[in-house]
Amino acid sequence: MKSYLGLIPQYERVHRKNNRISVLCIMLSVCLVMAIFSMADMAMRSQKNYFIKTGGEYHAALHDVEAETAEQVSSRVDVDLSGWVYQGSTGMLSGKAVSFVGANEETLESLTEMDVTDGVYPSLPDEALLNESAMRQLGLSVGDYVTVTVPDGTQKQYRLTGVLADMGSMLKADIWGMTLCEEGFLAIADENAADGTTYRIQFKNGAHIQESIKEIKEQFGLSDGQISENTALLGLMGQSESNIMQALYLIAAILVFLVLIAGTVMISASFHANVLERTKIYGLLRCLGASRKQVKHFVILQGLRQSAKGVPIGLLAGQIVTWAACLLLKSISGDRFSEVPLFEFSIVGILTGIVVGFLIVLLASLSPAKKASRVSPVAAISGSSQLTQNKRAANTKLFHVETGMGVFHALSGKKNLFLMTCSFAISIMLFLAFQVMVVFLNQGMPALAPSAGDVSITSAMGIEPLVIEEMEAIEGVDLVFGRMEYGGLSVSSDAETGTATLVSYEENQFKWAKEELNEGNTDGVLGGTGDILVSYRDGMQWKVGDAVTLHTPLGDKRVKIAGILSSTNASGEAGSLGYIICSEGLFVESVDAAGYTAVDIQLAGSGSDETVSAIRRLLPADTSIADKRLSNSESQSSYYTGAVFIYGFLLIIALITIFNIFNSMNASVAARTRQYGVMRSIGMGTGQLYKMIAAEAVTYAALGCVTGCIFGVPLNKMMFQFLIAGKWGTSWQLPAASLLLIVLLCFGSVVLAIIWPIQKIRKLSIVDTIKLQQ
Amino acid sequence: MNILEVQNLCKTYGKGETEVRALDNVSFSVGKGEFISIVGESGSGKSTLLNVVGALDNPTSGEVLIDGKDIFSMPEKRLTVFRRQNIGFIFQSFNLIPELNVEQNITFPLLLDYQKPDKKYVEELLGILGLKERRKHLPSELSGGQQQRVAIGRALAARPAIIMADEPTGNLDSRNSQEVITLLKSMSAKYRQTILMITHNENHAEEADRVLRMTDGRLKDLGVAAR
Repeated sequence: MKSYLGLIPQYERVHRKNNRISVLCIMLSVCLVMAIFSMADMAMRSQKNYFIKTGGEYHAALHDVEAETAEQVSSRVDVDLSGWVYQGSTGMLSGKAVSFVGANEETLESLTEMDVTDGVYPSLPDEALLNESAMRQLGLSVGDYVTVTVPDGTQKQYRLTGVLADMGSMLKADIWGMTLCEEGFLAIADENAADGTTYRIQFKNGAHIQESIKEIKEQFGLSDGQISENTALLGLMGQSESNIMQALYLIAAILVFLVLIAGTVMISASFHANVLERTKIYGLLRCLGASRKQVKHFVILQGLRQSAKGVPIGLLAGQIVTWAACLLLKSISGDRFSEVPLFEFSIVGILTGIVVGFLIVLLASLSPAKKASRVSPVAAISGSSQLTQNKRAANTKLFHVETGMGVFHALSGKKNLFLMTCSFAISIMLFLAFQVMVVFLNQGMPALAPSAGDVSITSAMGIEPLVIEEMEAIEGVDLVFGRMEYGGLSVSSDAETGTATLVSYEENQFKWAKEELNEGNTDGVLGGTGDILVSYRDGMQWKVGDAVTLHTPLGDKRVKIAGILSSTNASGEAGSLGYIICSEGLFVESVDAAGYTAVDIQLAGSGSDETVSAIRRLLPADTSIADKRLSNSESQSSYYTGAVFIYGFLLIIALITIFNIFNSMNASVAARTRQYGVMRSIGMGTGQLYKMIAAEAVTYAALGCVTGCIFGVPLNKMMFQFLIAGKWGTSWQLPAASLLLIVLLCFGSVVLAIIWPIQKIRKLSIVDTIKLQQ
Repeated sequence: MNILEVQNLCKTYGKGETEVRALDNVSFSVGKGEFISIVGESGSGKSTLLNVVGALDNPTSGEVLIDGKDIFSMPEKRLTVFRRQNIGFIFQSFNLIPELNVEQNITFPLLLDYQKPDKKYVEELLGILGLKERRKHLPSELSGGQQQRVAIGRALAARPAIIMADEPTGNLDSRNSQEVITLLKSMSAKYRQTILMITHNENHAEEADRVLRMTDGRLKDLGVAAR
């Protein structure tokens, strides 16, 4: 031992267990902070990639501006890349609408969502790219010529130089896409081009985009409508001024603050746990002649040594958690989550982890030093200093003595009580805060409804049931279900009179409709012809059980409302009284139906482009066939990315809560072991001892839950109003289920937390525990 | 009638070469109201004897009968209740509950038994112990002597069959020590309270009705203290 500081490793060796717990606490806190920040970073990166993929990497767009203005904007020092994107003009190709896009190669690749998958970019006005599915369906390949009806109605021949990647929006709208060079587009452009054309700008890294936009606006005298920002992308870059983004930033700041507090509380709590034991060693040092400064050095070095062990492991664990979340997404579907970064490091996450690890440890470990300097060295080493210097006695009148003492143990240590209450309260607050994010996720990027079709067919002429059977036989088709729709049906009842759209559901759709049911039930509607379901609308007078008369082309029909649905999947326009859903039997009795107006097809896992082509071949040319596979999977991927990260956070928070409570209860019990021994020698039964420990833990939990609710519920409400109420008009409701869940989790973790210390006490003999004191 | 019967009590720690016989075939009996002191060198097995007889520890073999009941044949739960109601403890380091005031500490064994303390008896005890004025004080506000008096009160509260006192004067100065011994003696006389006391102090030992000596785990009855 070269200096007095050499005592530290030896002290750690002797108190290996406590040292290990402290290191574990540091590790978990660092892991929590690092994982949350890294996961948030990864989620943002994947969203950014997604927005770039689906919208292009441009920051602002100018509309309706002169070429001269565009020229001047492009020469600004803060502009990295800019270019014209011409859109809006449409033509026809083989009886199907084709949307034209004009841009130069660099603009198309960098500033738009479009990609060239094969061939070269068109350089001449009569050269073009055509989208993948059009090429396939028309049996074309690169180098072929294709004749297109251009906007002015004339025919023009283009040479296909390459293939444009399919986009979800295009397939969903059942149109084709053709990309031309700038001159090519300008040669065929009609008046619609003016609306769709934009001059897109990408600013350099580090530019203050909002200021630049303001400058451009002022310099060229542009109106608000002439310049728009790419809100989603700017939002993720922290450069958006849109209200929803500002609200998100605020929420993010609150969450960051809460997460940091959670980390701090956890480390502080673990350090506070062995404060008494540490006080003893510091007192001993002082007794042997160490100055206060030397004790401080001792403490700081001790803390740093623990951090040096805990922080790297925490960082590693945090990184593993983050990668595991990303891998989980990738394993769900590599294609769908192509934007999720894999095995990337988040500088923000690593830095916050390190800062939290070292800084909080130092702050937390200074507390025992302070305590040691306050108590006299003699008192510190004699161990006669009581755990708490109580100022008043426990209340043994209100409860049984063991319960009263348990409650008193919880309430008497102010700092411990504060830390324990905080750790419960913060867990609840974090949980409630993230609950809003879950609601936001569900509202903002809803998961696909079970009824969502991969391919949707609409036909004014009607699709014969026979065709449906044929479609079901195609390989790769899982489910086919159709709806007959009849708009403008006159409906009367005592309460309301107007028009409605009559929609028929079949078995599957009735099954899914149960999930959408606000009240009533769907059972009688499927088979019978006397019951109907209605869709919910504001100011609705109808109630379940009301009688309604349908004035159908085949005569009046009196039916009963059996249920009210929150939404329907009808494709036609609603009437003034919304939609009326009935069985196919009732529909046929009421309307002389030609066939299904809309048919949705769900594909099995093996469903491919070939399956979709086979479906197309069964249908007449004028049928609209929307291929929703790509757009469905895009919205699915956003939902799952959000869900995995948000639920990941919640899981970490829950684990932290359990560990924190476990650790604190363990420490509290360890500190009182001698006292428990004495009580047992006087005649306290083990059952009574358990009750005492449980009463202490339940007191912490109850106080924590109340505090957590007092702060958490208004926080939840505020976040809800910021994020959701303003955007979707949904009114805030007490998140009773989430609240109940987290409160149960807290009390559940209390049960878990006291099992181990109780087992430990049970194993200790009374004599041994009393000897500890003597 | 004997309130305590100890028969062939053995307690060994360790095995083989490291085996230590802390109690080696110890047998003795104590009559009701007797005040017994046990003396011996450090490590002679006094505390082990007290712990085993007081049902805080289990013997390797042998029997202990308190008030005619074999305590080690009882299941753990019953033994706890039995200890609470029939055995009182006084420790060298007082071992009061820091969160409870003087009165609560004294009535603690009764509270554990969910009994309503007999107010008159508690008042009487507080009076005898000279703690009436300090009944609402916490242990941290009392002197060592006062704390030990509270511990004596606690041991007497449930009117146990026997009180085990493990060096009750070990942490006290001579004046307080004498006070405590006098108090124990008068309690034994007043309430016919059986007391088994370990002490290092030969003078204190002589105050007892009978003195037992422990040597290397063996017990020798020195008979009635010569006074």
